[in-house]
Amino acid sequence: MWELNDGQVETIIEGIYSRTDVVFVEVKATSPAKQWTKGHLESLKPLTNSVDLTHQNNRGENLLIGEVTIGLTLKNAKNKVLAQFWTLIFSNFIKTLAISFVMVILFEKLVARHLTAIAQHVSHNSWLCSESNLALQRTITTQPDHLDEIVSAVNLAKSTIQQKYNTLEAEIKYRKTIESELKENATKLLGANKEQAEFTYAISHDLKSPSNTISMLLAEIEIAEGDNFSDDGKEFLDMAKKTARRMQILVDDILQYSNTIDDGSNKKNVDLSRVAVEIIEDLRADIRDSSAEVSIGYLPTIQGIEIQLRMLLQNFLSNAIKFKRENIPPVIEIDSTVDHAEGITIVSIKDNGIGIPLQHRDRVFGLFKRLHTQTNYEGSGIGLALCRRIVINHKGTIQIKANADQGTIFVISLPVSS
Amino acid sequence: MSGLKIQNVVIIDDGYVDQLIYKKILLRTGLVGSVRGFELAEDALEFLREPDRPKIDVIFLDINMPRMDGFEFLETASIEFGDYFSVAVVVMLTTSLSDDDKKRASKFRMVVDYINKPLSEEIVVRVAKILETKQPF
Repeated sequence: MWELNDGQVETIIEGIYSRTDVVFVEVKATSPAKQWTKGHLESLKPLTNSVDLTHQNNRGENLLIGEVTIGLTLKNAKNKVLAQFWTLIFSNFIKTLAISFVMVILFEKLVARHLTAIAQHVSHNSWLCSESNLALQRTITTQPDHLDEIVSAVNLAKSTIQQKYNTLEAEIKYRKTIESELKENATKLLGANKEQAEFTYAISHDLKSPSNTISMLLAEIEIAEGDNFSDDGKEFLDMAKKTARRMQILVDDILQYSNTIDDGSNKKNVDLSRVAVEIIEDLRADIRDSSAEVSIGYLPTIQGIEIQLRMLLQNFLSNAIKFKRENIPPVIEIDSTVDHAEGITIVSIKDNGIGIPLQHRDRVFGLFKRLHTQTNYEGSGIGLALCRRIVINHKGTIQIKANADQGTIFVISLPVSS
Repeated sequence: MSGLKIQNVVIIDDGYVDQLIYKKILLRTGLVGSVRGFELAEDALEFLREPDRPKIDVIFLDINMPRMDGFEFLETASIEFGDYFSVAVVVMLTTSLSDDDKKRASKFRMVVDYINKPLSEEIVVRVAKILETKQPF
């Protein structure tokens, strides 16, 4: 029989109970049955476990002498774990903060300030025009990194844009030059038109006036002497009056032409054949004096300005007579072909005169351009310039070809209808 | 013809031959007494300044002339003779086809007619009719 010492058991129970988290200790003795309890089970609902109390006797047998039950709560353990948890969190936070701070400083030092530099460089107004490239203040690394890539991309973009900008700038400069040239030419043109108007005015007096005077003189001669004239004389007087009249008409026509420069509105059907015959009539005196032989082939009716076309043919014919070779009577052929497919009339005026050297063939169409002195051949240098303008007015072209028999062939292409 | 209607005519025209013919035409109508011709407008002004000159019924005036043209003559005479000149009778006789000239001429009170050359007897008759209501200058 074992009797458990009360005092000892209670001391042990006290000792156990005083341990952290122990809320309940109970010892039960089997014989004699006795129970020691410390603490409560109900209120704290602890974890409980029971252990048998045994005693080994002299024969080595284990005898059950009682049972110990201990109740534990995890309240303190929980608090401990929580405390450890918060400590861990806080210390980690501090560490992260410290590392972040270092990272921010490093980032600022290594990256951000360069990005700011790039942004400042790019946002500057004149960066596209400036000569200097973007360069960052950093130690040179052998291996180019992302920042270097950005820098070279920015510089490449800049040089590309700069090239395009320079091209555009050159283009604008070129166009401005052209524009000012155009303005200048427009001013010149206005001046030329004014000059033309003054020229017209001068013609109205200087040409019209003498032709009027001649008409009046012829009328006076007829009144004073008409009855005394022979039949031939009367006929010549009549022809003279008609010629003077034609001269007045021509002067009026020139005025009208000058007044309708660049005005293609009064185009109508013109029978070139009739015009050519009338011109030969006008030039009869010259033709007779030079013993010229003029033949007119087929000439069509085309749409145009009659006075201009008349002046055109008349200039070519009178030139052909004027620029004859010495002692060789002029032989002049006017002919034409019609290219129906193209709607073009090709008029050719062929002479056997002195010809126009190849190197002067463009020059002769210039205003006041002459190849001869006034002593050899009189003239103003207006004729062929006028011809060219007339042909341009009719949207045609003029070419000079050499005649095989020495002389000139003028080839004029004119649209049949405008 | 019912006697002389235009006693004194002045022609201002730089064309000597034209003047000769105009004189012939004017006199042939039987309406004109005497014709004075001036090739320069300045000479005509000199004549108009003479105190004992005869009164002038009509001036035939060309526009395009050397030195002083027709318009300058009209302006100079207007300034020099003042209102007195405004009652004079001027007929423009010109080859100018310019509308501007015609408009410019019509602004002068004394210009009663604007004739494109040549002068004819019919025109002289027409001028004589206009002069019936006018006083010599």
